[in-house]
Amino acid sequence: VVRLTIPALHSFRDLVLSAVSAAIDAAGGSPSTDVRDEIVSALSEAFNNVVIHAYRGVRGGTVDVRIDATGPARAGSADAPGDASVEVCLLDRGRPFEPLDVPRFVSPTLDAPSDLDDLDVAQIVADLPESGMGLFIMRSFMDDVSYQPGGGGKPNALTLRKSWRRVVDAEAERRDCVPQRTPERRDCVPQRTPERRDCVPQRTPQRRDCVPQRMPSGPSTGMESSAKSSSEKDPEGAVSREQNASFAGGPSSKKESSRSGWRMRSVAVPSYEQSTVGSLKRK
Amino acid sequence: MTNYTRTDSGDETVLRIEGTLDAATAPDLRTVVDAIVDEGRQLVTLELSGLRLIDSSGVGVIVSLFKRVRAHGGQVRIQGLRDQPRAIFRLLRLDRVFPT
Repeated sequence: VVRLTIPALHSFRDLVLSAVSAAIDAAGGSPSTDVRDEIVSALSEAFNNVVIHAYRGVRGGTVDVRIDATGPARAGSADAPGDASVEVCLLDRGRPFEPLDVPRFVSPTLDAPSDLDDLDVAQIVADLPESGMGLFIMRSFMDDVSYQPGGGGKPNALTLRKSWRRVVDAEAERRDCVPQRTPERRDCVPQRTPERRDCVPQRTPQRRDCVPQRMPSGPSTGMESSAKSSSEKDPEGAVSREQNASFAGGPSSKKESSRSGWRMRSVAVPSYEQSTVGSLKRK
Repeated sequence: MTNYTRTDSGDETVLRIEGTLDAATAPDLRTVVDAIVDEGRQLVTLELSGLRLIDSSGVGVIVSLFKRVRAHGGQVRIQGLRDQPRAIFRLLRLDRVFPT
């Protein structure tokens, strides 16, 4: 476990991100670029939450950061394939926040079809929210987000966890990809392994929108690591739809809330087609 | 650290944003956005190929620009979106309404 104590200032956020990235690498986590982007996005929002909300109007606040990254290096077998994970806990002694007071993030874009006409766009644009996305981003990009308010000498604790399938040979993955519309790696059609060859980009060129053409299931590869991991854990989408209906805090998560703390587990991202979720099954 | 470069050419304004657009730097961009809106610019292109990281505060300013320019009959386009910023835009499905 890596521990840091830093000032609660925006200028120290990159230090947290760098430390988390380094801890993941040291454990042999080998996340895909997409997974790394998701972790960075969620942690940025979490750190913002502490700086902006917990220490609003307070000078000299500090954040204790605990990073626990797991991977084959820590297990003593650096070459072994398998899962890796990271848990980051941000501890502060500022003002606790009440998750039930956080309005649910609602955006008309989340349910918008891909073939919008101008009138649709005009209406959606008029209703676009300009704030309230932080918790939604954390919850969507991480597997588990929990918050424990402090008191009685204990700090507030915001904990984020994520696991992913390791990219065992990133260089090979890059070699195996053929750029499509743009030269970015995520827009590629993987070539060598059957599972990867069987994927083609759908409407958008992201890899997470791939659907298998010939093999509906099979052994996992580095391909799946770029997909939304929470989607992988609910490949049928049924659980997520049920939970979506009952969770007031957002459409993609299950929240267990009480005055003593709360926890949310992401189960699916509503912004990606449910029909593709099953094909992104990891296990 | 964020750098903004605004270039006006006829009816079009190209705003290049480089670096990090977050809660610390978003207020600076909002000042730039206010000026663009106040001047009634009709065609605004955000060039984001140099944008390394964006958070919800940064997204909020871009959404504000988009709404205000469109409210006056203008258009905002986004170019060069990639990496972490693209992941955020995709998550929020802003790519459905922002011409790219």
